[in-house]
Amino acid sequence: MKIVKNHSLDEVCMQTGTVLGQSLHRPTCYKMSERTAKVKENKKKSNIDSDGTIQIPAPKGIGNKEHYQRLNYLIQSSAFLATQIRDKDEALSRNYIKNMDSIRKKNQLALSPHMKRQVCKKCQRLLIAGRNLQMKIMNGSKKKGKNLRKSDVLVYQCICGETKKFPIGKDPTYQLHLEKPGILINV
Amino acid sequence: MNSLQKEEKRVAKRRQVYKPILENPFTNEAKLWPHVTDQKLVLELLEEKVLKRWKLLQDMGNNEESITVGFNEIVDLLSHGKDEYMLFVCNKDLPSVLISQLPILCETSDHTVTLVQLPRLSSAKFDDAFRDVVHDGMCLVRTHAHYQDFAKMISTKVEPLSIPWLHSAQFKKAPVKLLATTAPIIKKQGKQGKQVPS
Repeated sequence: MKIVKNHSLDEVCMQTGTVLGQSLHRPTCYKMSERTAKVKENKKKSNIDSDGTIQIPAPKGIGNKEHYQRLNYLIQSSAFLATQIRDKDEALSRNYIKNMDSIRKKNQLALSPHMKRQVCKKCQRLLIAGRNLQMKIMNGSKKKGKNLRKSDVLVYQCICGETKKFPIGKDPTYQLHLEKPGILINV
Repeated sequence: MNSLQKEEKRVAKRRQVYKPILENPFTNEAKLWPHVTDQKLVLELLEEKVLKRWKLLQDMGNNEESITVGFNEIVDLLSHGKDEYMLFVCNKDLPSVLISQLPILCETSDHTVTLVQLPRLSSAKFDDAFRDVVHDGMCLVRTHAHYQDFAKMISTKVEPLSIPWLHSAQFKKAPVKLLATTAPIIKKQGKQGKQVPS
């Protein structure tokens, strides 16, 4: 019988298993080979979906969390000032939103579209319906017919005169990317 | 690297990325809209008491003054005066931008408004009842003499509207979430003009 040197345990066991038939090592050898096969299978498993996108598991933490906390504090303070202290100019409230915007730009932080829709880009007011915001569905179409609703535009008008337009008639079933199920992940 | 991994890298055009995003601490739609205990019953009641009556009066050539439909008309009405109303909205069938400010408008309005959300696909019943009238998936009912019993029944099924941030300062934790999206894979190119040693 050959003496096997510098070989892995699997190889030795496989050899002894073939030579000796029912050896003492056989059950453990069988388990080991099965395990290695499983590891190989996992390695070979594709992590690319049908669209050709490499799937990566979500990270457990978030970088720059302090900056996000600061933004959160600023928007909540601004909302408190806008709703509780009914100043005509809303100067301090607007200043907080302005700070928030500059911090966001400097640190390249992302805000949700819902949040951006609630702030006037011109005067930095927090838009609250019934106080400083007027809403209206407008239709500038000159055509008359069935498809008139397609050109419906929702207009948000701030007290400063700035308008935001949303073409709601174009695609009534439109959803934001983050409104789709499974897109937003809690951390 | 084995050949399979190489092949995968060659085929893949995009990779998944996760971007942190700050959600609005105030626009949590699940909490903005008051909870309705039995939505199907509420819809049936609305159909029986309001929509059928509207249809009947329209056929007879009369207008129902207690019922207002259409986004612009409802917003105008809620911005002025003082009265009691019920606002029925098919919020699951409408774009989010259209309905996001409605609960805030109901809360800031001088009127007493009971906001009622209707189940999915209930706008089909509105289409059937209002026909050619533009309704935008919402209907405002004034709770005067004829609709008082109906209003009582509805109020038992609907929780009162509450938007705490409009009335008090209550600090909330930063709602930071991860947004799953994709980015293109850009293959690195060697510097131009650099000679490779033989």
